[in-house]
Amino acid sequence: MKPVNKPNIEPISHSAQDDHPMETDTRPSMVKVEDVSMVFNMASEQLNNLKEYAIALVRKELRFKEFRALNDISLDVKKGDVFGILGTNGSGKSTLLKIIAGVLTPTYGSVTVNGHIAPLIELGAGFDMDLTARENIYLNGALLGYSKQLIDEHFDAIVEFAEIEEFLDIPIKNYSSGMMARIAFAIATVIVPEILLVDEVLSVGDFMFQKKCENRIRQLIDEYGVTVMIVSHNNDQIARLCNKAIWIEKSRCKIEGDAQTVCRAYSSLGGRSGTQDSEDKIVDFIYEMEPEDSLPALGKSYEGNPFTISAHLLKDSIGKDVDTVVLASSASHTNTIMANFIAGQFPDSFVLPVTTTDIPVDVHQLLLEEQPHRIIFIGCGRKDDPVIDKLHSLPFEKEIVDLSGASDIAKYSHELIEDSLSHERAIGNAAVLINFPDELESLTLTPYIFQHALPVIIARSSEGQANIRQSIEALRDSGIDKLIAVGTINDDEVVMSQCDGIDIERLATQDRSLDRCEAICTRFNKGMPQQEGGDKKLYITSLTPTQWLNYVSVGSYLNHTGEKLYSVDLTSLDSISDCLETIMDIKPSSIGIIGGEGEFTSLDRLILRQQAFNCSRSKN
Amino acid sequence: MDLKPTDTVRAVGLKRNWFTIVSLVSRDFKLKYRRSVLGVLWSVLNPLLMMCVLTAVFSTIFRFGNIENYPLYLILGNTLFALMSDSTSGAMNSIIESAPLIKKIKINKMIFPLEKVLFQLVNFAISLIAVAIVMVYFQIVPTWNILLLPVLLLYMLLFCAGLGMTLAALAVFFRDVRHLWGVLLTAWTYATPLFYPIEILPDWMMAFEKFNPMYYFVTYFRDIALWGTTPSLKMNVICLVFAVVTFVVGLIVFKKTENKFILYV
Repeated sequence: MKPVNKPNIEPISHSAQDDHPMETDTRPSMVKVEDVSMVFNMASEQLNNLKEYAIALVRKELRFKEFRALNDISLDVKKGDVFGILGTNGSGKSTLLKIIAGVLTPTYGSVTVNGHIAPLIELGAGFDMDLTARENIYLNGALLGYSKQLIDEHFDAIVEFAEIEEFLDIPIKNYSSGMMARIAFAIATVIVPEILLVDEVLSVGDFMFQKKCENRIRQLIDEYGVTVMIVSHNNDQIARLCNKAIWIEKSRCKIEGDAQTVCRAYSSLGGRSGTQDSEDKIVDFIYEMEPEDSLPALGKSYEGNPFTISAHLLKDSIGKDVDTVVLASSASHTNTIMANFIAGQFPDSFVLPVTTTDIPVDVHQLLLEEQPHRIIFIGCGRKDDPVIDKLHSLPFEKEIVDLSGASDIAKYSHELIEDSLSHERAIGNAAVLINFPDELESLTLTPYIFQHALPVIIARSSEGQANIRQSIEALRDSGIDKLIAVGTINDDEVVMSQCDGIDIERLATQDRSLDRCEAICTRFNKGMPQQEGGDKKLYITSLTPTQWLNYVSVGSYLNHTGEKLYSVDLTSLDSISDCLETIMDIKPSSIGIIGGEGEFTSLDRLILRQQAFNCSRSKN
Repeated sequence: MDLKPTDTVRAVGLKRNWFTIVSLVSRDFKLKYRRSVLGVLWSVLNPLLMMCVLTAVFSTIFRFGNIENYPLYLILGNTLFALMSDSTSGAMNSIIESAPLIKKIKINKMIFPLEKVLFQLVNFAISLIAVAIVMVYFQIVPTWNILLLPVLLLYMLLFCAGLGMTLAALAVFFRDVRHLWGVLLTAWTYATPLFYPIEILPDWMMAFEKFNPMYYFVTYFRDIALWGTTPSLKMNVICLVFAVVTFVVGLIVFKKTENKFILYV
C-alpha cells in the first residue's frame, strides 16, 4: 500500500490560500483556458444526407445558425487546485470539460494543458456489453492509453476496488449500472494522473460507492497533489472537495473565485428567478461578503411552526394585558384577514391561528396562561366547529363569541360587517374590497386592517356581487365614505360597488404580485405606529402563497410593538434585492426573521447579517 | 489500491496505439465467434462452402468449368475480394459505432478504421487455410512465387486502409454512404473477374478493368498462388501506385475532417 515515488509537491492548504487572496500564486499552471468560445453550427447539423447538403450548399445556407455553447471563458487552474465547475443542465459546463479533455476543439481561444489528463467523463464509455469484466478491464485500459504491463500489475487492485471478484467472467451486460461505474472508476483512477477530470460521475452508484469514490479523489488530492477539475450541479460536493470554482450559466462565466463564494452564489441564485439586474446585484453582494465570524448575529427571530410563532409574538407584544383574542381558523387565509377587522374593533386584542379541528398546543397553553376575557372565533363555513367545544372547556372565566358563519366567503364577509354594525362598535371610515385569490397582497393588508378596523368586503366573481352591494349600502348608512378596491378586482365588480356618496380608490393594480404588495405598504405605512427612541427593529418574513399561516398574528403584533416588518418573496431575486435596499434605507438596529423551519436558508441568513453589518458600518 | 506514478509505466505514442488496436482486434475476434459451436473454424469453412456453391452454380449453369482448377480460381478471388469488402465496410462504420468513446476521451481516431482492416486481415489469414486445403485437394504444389504473398498483403492493407478511412470520414457526415456502399460493392464484385475468365469480357469492359485496382490484386494473387508465375515489375508498380494513392487520399480526407467528427456522430 505504500506509494512509490510520491510526487514532490508542497502541501497546499486551501484555507491558508483563502486567507490571503492577494498573495501572488507561484504554482505552475496546469490548465489554462484563454477566451474560449465554442460555436456549434445548427444549420449544417441537421443536414444528414447528400441531397439536403447539396441544396443548402447551392442556397448558401450553410453555416447559418450558430449556437454558442461557451462564450469567452477563461480560467487558470494551478497545480494542486481542486477546481469545481458549477452550472445548471445545458449551461455548457460539460462542453468546457470536453474541450479541456481534448475531445472538442474550441472555435475561438486556446487551451493549454500541462500534463497527462485522466478523464472520468461518463464512466464506462468504452465498455463492450458482450465482453466479460476481465476483458473489459483490459479493453478500457487500452482505450485510456494504459500499457498491457500496467494493467497486468494493477488488475487485482482494480478488481478489489470495484468489488467484483466473483463476477469477473460474466458478460458485463448482466452487471448493474452501479457495478459498471465501479469498474470504470477503478480503471480510471488506478494510476495517479497529473490532472483528473471528473464529470458528474459521482452521482452514480450507491451511497457506499459514492463515498468510496470521493475518498479516493480526496486521497489523490491530499497525498499526491493531483490537480482535479470536477463538474457538478451538486453544490455541497463542490463546496466539500474544491478550493476554487467557476459557475457557468447560459454559456457565460457568471462568477469565478474561491469555492465557498461561488457555491454560495450558486445556491442562492440557482432556482430563483429575477431580472438580470437584481441577479447581478446579489452576485456582487455575495462576492463581497465578509467572513461569517465577523458578521453580527441576527436579532430576535420567531421561527418554528406558525402556531409557536404566533404564541411568541403575543407574549412579546402585549402579554398579560391581552383582553380579546380572535381565533382565525386555518381553513382559509381570508379568515385571517377578517379576523384582523374584528380584532381591530377591540382594545388590547390579538389574532391567533387555530387548526380546523383543534386548538394547537402552543395556542392552548397561551390561552391558559394569559386568560383573555373575550375569545372570538372566526371560521368561514365552520359552524359547530369542534374548536368551540374545546374553548368552552377552558378552565377560566371568559366570554366566547362564535362568529362562524356562511360557507361562501363573500357572504361571510357581509355577515361579519352586519354583526359589527349591529353591535355599533367603532370601525374604520373606509372599507376595503379585495379579490378572493389574491393571497399575498391581501395578507400584507392585515396590519392596516387591524389598525383602523377596516371592514373587509370580499369579491368572488361568481356569487358575491349581491353581497358587495348590500355590504356597501349598509356601511354607507353607518358613515363610511370610501371604498379602497385592492388588487386584481375586475372592473365589473368595481362598477357593481359604485354607490352614491362613496368614493372609490383603486390600489395595487400592478401585474406583479410583488409590486402590488409594495403599493399597499407605501399607501398605508406612514400611519403605522412608530417605535419610540432610536432602537429600530426590523423583521423580515417570507411571504409565499403556501406559507401565509406565519402571517396570522403579524398584523396585531406590529400594531402593538410599532416595529417594522418587511415581507420578502424568497423565490424571487428581485424581491430579495428590493429587501436589501429597504433594509439600507431603514438602517434598523437589528434584523429578525419571522418564518417557518428552513424557510430562510443559511445563505439567506448570512445575506441579512451582512446587510445588518453594512447598515451599522454606514451609520458610523 | 496500490498507486504508481504515471509516466514510468505509461505507454506512449505508437506503442500505446498498437496496444489499443490489438485489444480492439481481440475484442472483435471474441465477439465474432462468441456462442458459436465451431468458433474460429467458420473462418475456414465459410470460404470453402462458398466455393462449393459458386463452383456448382458457375460450372454447370454458366459453364466456366473449363478453367483449369476452377474451384481454386474462385476461392482465391473470393477471399481476397472479401478482405477488401469486409474491411472497408467495417472501417466505414467504425467511427459512428465508437461515437460514445470519441465523445468522451481523447484518442487517436484513426485507430478505429485501421483496426477493422487489421481484423479482416487476421480473418483472411485464417481463410488461407481453406485455400491450402483446396490446393492440397487439387495437388497443386506452390512455387517460390507464393512468398510474394506478404507483398500483396501490404498493397491490400494500404489500399483497404485508405478506402476505409475515406468511407469512415464520409459516413460521419453523410449517412447515405453506408447504404450506397453495399450496392457499389455488389457492382464491383461482378465487374471484377472473380467467377468468370477475363477472356469473356467485351473490349470496353477490358478497357475498364485497367482502372479496377481489385482486378490487379486478384490477378496478382492468382499469379503467385494458382499459375505459379512471378508478377512483372510493371504489375507491382501498378499495384503499389493504386495502394499508395488510395492510402494517401484516405489519410488526407480523414485528417482534414476528424476534428469535426464529434459534432456529427
